[in-house]
Amino acid sequence: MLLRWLVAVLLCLALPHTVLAATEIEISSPGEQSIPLGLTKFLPDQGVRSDRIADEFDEVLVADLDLSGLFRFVDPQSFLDDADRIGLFSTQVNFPQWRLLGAETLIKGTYHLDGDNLVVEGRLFDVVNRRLLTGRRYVGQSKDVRRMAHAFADLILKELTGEEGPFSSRIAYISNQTGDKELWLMDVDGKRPLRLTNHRSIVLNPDFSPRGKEILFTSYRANNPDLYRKEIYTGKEAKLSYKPGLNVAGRMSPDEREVALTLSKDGNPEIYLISTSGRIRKRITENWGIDSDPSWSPDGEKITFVSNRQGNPHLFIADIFTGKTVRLTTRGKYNATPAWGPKGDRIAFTRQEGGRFDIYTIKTDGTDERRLTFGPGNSEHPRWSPDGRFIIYSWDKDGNRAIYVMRADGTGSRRLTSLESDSRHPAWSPRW
Amino acid sequence: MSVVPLRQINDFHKDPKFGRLLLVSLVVHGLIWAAFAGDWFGYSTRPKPPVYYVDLIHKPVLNPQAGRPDPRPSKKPQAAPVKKSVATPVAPKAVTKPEVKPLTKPEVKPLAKPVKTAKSKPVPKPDQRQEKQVQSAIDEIRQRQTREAERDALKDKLAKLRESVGAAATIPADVPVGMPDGTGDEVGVSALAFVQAFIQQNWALSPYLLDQSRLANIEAKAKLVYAADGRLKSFRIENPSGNPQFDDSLKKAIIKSQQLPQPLPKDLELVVIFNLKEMAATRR
Amino acid sequence: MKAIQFIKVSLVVLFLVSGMIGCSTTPPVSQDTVGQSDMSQQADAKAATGVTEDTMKEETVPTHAHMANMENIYFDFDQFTLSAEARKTLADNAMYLKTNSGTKVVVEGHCDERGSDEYNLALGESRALAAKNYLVSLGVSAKQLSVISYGEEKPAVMGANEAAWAKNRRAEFKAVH
Repeated sequence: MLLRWLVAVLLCLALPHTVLAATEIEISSPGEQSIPLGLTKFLPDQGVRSDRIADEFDEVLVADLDLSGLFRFVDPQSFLDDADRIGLFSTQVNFPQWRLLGAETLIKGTYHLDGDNLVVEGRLFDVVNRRLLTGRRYVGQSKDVRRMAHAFADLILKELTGEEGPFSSRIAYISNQTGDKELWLMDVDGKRPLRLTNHRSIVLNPDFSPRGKEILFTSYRANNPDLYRKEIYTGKEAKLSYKPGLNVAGRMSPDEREVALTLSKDGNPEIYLISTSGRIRKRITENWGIDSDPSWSPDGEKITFVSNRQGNPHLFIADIFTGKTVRLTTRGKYNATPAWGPKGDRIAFTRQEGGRFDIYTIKTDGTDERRLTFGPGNSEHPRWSPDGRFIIYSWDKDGNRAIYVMRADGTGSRRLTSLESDSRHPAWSPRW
Repeated sequence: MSVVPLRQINDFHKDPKFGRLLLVSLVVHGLIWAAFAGDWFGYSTRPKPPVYYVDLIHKPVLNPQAGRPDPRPSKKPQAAPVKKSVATPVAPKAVTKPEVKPLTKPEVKPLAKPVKTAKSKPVPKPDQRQEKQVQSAIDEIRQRQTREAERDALKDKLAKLRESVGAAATIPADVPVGMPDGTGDEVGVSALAFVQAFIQQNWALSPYLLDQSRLANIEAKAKLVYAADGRLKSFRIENPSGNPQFDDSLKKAIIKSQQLPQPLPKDLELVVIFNLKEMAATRR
Repeated sequence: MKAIQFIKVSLVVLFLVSGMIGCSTTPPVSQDTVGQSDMSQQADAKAATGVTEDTMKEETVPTHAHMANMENIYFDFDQFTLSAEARKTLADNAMYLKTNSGTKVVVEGHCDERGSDEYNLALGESRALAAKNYLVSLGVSAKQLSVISYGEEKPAVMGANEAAWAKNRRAEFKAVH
């Protein structure tokens, strides 16, 4: 019995390990690092044909989707006849044709122009799965065509990534094209610039309120750098803080109940918190050096700012409630203009290296510092888009400073303002 | 191992030392098996160095060319008429030149004669020399003409041959690299590498779809079963990554890889691990 | 017995089948499933008009004349400390101010164009304050002095070189009328 058992065990040991493991392969990067997109020009929907509408819509959509970095556009020259057919439902689209061109996603749509009234229908299809992903109808006037295109681009991003795009929001900035530095507002693609102030003095440093109803800025109109607030829709302005000395770099807290700013009334630029009626609530910094340029964390509990208390200008983070202040940047000799990212994990700032300023981002614990711009010239004053995908900044590589936008990893930068005048201090509005 | 009859086993069983020896043998066998089967030095749990699959050959291109010696067939119908139009002006030139030359010859001779009659002995020598020079020059030109004419004739013949070969070619025009009809390279012969490259080529994913910090960690496993004719019989995502955009892109890649352009030697059951290690490394 | 079995089985089958009837292919997309956005109703930002409609009345900008008797002082890059030469100049200015105790002066702090605009506003302020504090320490009445910083917004000399920058890192003394 024991022997039979022993023989059986020996036999088992002798058997080869014929485990039928399926062959395993690893693919550690996609063959294509962008989604192939077929973007067709929108077609007239049995109404008046307007190439201007179709072209403008297409131009805005292409610029926005290109900025997102998600797509590779299939060459419109290679489009086949399905591009000229109206396709608002998945049954109307010849998907195999688009598969042939290599597209994975497809955008089609129609427009209906009746006098000045415009109705645009946009659709986003999944070519591989042959279904409609999302669509929307936009009703408005022909002057709203750019806003419709931006809204559609936002929707496309929402559908594909889960988070809406920021293309419908606005950018405030300072421009001296009238001879004086005034506050202006423009679209995310740099179009439709609109002057908001008429101070005929020096206006600086705009910042939006978190709900997008007001802009804070500094103006020398009363012969002192005072902090003003302006209602965007009514145009009403009022002084918010006009203490003697500096009232600059006003930033509203995420809950809109306080404003952090730099005051020098006590003999030295320090950071204070004031209420929305201008009354001082709290003093955040207290030292011999310069403390300026606060930026709130998205949860409203911390502020990052610039201070030269340890010699050179560096970034620090102060806790509003406990007052505890820690140093954020350790490298470089001059770090300035911090901007806390809307996701709360990274802070963008500028550093002067070799006489030039470039933009960096750093994690809030001081690690993982990344450089985003590499000159030439000075890239300054970074601000984040409300979804944290993009950063706007001013760059003077062509002489005059102009506002540029780039992705948060430093790629895809493009100019928004003209080079004929000086544009700086950009601020990105919350979702409009 | 042959079946041992019971009687022999019984005989062995009577041997007192046999049992002990058998035990020792068993233990030694067991030790050897354990030595190979066990993970004594932690090799299986150690983090393996990352494998960067650098695909220089199967680089994804929209219109992959087969490994063919001649350019794409679309250029062919253009090439032939171009050659023809080039060939035809050459031929009439070769014809007209010799026509011109014989006309000049008789002109030369009558000129020489009146000179000859006018002068005495020293004159015919320079005349003869001149004539010889002219003659040799004419011969040279003629030889050059014939050589060129032969060359053009050869070119025409070659063009015609190429055309006929092209027309008669049975190789399909849009054959991807590495086909078993002998026009690819040896890398394509490995079915596994080909399938890997094919699926990778069909996988499109933008890094901006995901949170940048998660690029290094995201991973999903899928099991694919291909039939021998290259058709995907079934697929299943075994370990989804948890990120819907990532999983979606995998599904699309697998759907696009439903039909392999080439048959496989046999049914293939494949476990594919999708991750973004290479992309994360290159984007840093 | 068999009949009951049959009924049971058929009931179960019916139950299962009825469950599957609910599953159909994706419903066709109708016009109603696509959302609609009305773009024309959204309000837009108010542009600046000629008439300022704010609550503060517009104040006239006083002209500041540069005082010939009061010299500028200059600073090193990113510094608001007073050099020995600056102190000498300030001593002279203090002399003038003490003898003309009626004149009011605004001390303007300026920076060169390098550096962050916001930080330079604060730096200019620090420079002006440093000058003011020194003047006060020399005996000038604080009531005569006020301070303003223009940061890098009003350079004295245009140019992107050290010579121009050195001239812009200054504190100026201007009479207030």
